[in-house]
Amino acid sequence: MLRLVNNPKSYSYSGVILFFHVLRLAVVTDYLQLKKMRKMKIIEKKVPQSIRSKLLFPFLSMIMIFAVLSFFSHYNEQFLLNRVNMLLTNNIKLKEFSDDVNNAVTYLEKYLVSRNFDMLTQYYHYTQKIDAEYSNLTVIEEKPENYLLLENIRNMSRSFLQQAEMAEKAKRARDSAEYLQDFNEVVRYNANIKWAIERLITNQLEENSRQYLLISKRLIYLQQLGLILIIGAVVFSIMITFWTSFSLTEPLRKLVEAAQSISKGNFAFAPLTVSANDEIAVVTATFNEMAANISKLINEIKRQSDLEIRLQEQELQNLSMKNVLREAELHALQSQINPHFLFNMLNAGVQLAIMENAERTAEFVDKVSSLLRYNLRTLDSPVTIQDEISHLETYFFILKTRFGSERFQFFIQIDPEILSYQIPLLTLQPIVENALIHGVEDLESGGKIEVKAFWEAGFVVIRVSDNGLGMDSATLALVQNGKQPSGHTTGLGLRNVRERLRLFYGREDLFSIRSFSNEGTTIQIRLPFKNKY
Amino acid sequence: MKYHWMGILIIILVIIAITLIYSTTDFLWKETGVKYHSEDLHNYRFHFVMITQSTDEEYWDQAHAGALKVANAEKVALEYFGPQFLDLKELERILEMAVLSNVDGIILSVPSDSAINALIQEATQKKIPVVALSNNIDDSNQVSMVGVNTYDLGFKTGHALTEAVSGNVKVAVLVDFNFSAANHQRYLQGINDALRKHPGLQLKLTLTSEGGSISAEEQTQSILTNFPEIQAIICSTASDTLGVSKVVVDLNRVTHVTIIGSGFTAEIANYIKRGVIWGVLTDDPVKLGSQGIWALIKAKKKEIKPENCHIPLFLITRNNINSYLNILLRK
Repeated sequence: MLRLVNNPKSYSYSGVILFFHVLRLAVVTDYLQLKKMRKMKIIEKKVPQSIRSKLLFPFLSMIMIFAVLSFFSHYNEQFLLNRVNMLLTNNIKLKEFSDDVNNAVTYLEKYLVSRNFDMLTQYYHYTQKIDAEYSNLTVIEEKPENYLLLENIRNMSRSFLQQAEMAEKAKRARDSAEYLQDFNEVVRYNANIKWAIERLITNQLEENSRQYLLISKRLIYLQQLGLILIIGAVVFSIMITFWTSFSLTEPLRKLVEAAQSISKGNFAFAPLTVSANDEIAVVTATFNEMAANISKLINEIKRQSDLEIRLQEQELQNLSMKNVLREAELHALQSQINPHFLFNMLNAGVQLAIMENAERTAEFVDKVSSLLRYNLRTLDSPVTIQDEISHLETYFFILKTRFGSERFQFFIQIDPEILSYQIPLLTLQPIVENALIHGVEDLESGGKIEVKAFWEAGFVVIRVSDNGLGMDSATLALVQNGKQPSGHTTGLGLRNVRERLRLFYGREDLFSIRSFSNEGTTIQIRLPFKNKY
Repeated sequence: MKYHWMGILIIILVIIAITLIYSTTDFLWKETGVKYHSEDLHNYRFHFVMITQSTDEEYWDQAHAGALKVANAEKVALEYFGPQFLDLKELERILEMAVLSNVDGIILSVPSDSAINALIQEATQKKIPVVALSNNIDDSNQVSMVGVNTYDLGFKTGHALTEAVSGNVKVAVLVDFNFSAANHQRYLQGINDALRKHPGLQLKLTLTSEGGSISAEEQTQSILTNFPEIQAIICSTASDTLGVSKVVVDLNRVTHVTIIGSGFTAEIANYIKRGVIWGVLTDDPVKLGSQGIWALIKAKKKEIKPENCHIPLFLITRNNINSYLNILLRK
């Protein structure tokens, strides 16, 4: 304890060492924790400063500052108290010693006067005590002045004891002159020892009081300094607390906002930025990555669903094409009711007409028979333009026979190069039939239907025009939109032709109608050049 | 990055706190004069006691400083009892204690007194060497003396007076009351010898001072009142010189009275500069102190028998005061 008191810096040393131990422990624990987390793949990235150290470091520092301050003031008080204690103890010891010397002289005197044995015993008691004590006397501060005074006291005590012994011996020898002289010397020593001890006590008191006052003054100064330090530390602590809580909660708040935004389905936010370098930063980075991934996934799903919708549309289209074909085939089937019987009948009619020499009738029936045969062919097999034109000629022959050659005129003008070009079956006849029924049938005479087929810029163009009634713009719009005016013979209308061409060539822009009221109608199909299918 | 700055700030704060506490602890301790575990105290060759008795503190402080310097260099423990504490009884007590404590040597500057002489006698019997400073103890073969030769002091003072004044001048002398009878005689002899060739200068009045500047003031007052023809006053101590000067100034007699003093203090220096004191004779107190210790050490080594050692005297006047200011008033 005394050693500790005598070393003013030992408290401060131990405080500082303790502080650094705690700090080191905190940092090492933190580091080990991080290492463990990294090992467990909880944290992939390197996190130099975790939230734990972020909290531990400032708070431990604050605690340490306060601890050092309070330790310091406690130590100073203890120091002063100890000084006063030491001074008082030392002075009491000196005073007791002085009293012992005094007592020894008193009992020696009594012994010399009375020769009382008890007095001698008492005298021995005190001389032994003095003998044991004088070399152990100490001063508080070994100032030269005090120390030398103490040396004087010791020397005088030693001489005092010798002188007293001499007096006692002289008394025993009954040498009264000698013991009186010796006793006078003893009294002299006593007076001087007493004086020296009083002076030493006064010196120590004086010196200590002076120092006590000086230290007290400085303590007041230090207390003021400590107060300023405490105020500074408090302000700093408040700042640190605010800063720490803000720096911890602010990124979390941003994260919460972003999470709420995501929960509402809004992925369009800028990636969060966090300046700190801790677990929150890792969480934020991971969150950013997660948001980006979710957004990417959702886009992928959207794209796939678009694709599916398009596929469904495609399928629907295919289904409608099949419907059109089926419709056409149904028409064909309707008119296919026992075709062999019909053809046998017609063949029988031809033979009958030849036998009756009615050659024109035979030709007519033959043409009707071939017309029917052509019409009954399967619709989805292509034919050459040559075949279509032959069929048209047959058709025109029948029409001419039916209506007379004056009422309508038919013109066919085909570029020979395109005769072998293949087109769907029954493409031209429904168009011509349409021109006949809606265009020129109502004319008394002068009706004209013209079929032209030629090359034009890589396309086979087939144009069917009439000089009939034409269409007003409303009807034209209807027809252009694929609506079919009623009144067909073969049952295959323009719409059917148009659909089949679209499916056959996979294009929409093949068919065009131009018509003016009372000026006739021109239907044109532009087919891309195809040699083979 | 922000965090790093905060960390640096915290570290700086902690360092400042620790530094403050350290420096204040030092501050609390260092200047209170507390010293621990001083080994030097126990490791000395001789234990000497120095006892001075005079009102001139400054002079004896310097003498003590000179003695202490030699003592420290020679590993001598020096116990000092300065003038501020002492009356004659106290002085006897200290001397008695020193003798009874069997110290290794005593340096004294005390007035001549029978009790003290008896104690010095006792010391010599106990083979404790005694050195007297400043001529106060009656000659005996047992005591060494270090200090000014009183005859020399008287002669040089008288000589200074002959330089200071001319014509018919009546002179009063205040002799130090500490001077032993023999020294008293020698001092006056010196003055008379110096004045012998100047018949105009006449020693009209010789008084023994009572020590202290207040009694000197009283004496001066009565001299100037009762003997208005006195035109010069000679003093043999610093306190007498100061007391005389004050009265001369107070009575506005500066131009009429020439003062030849003794001893050198800041106050005396001031009076010399102002022309109140014509000049003073002084020795070097530091030299006095150091020579005292040397004399004791030599006595302790039994190199010499008790002898007298005279230290040099200086005459300080208005003309040469500046060169002495730094040397003698170095406190």
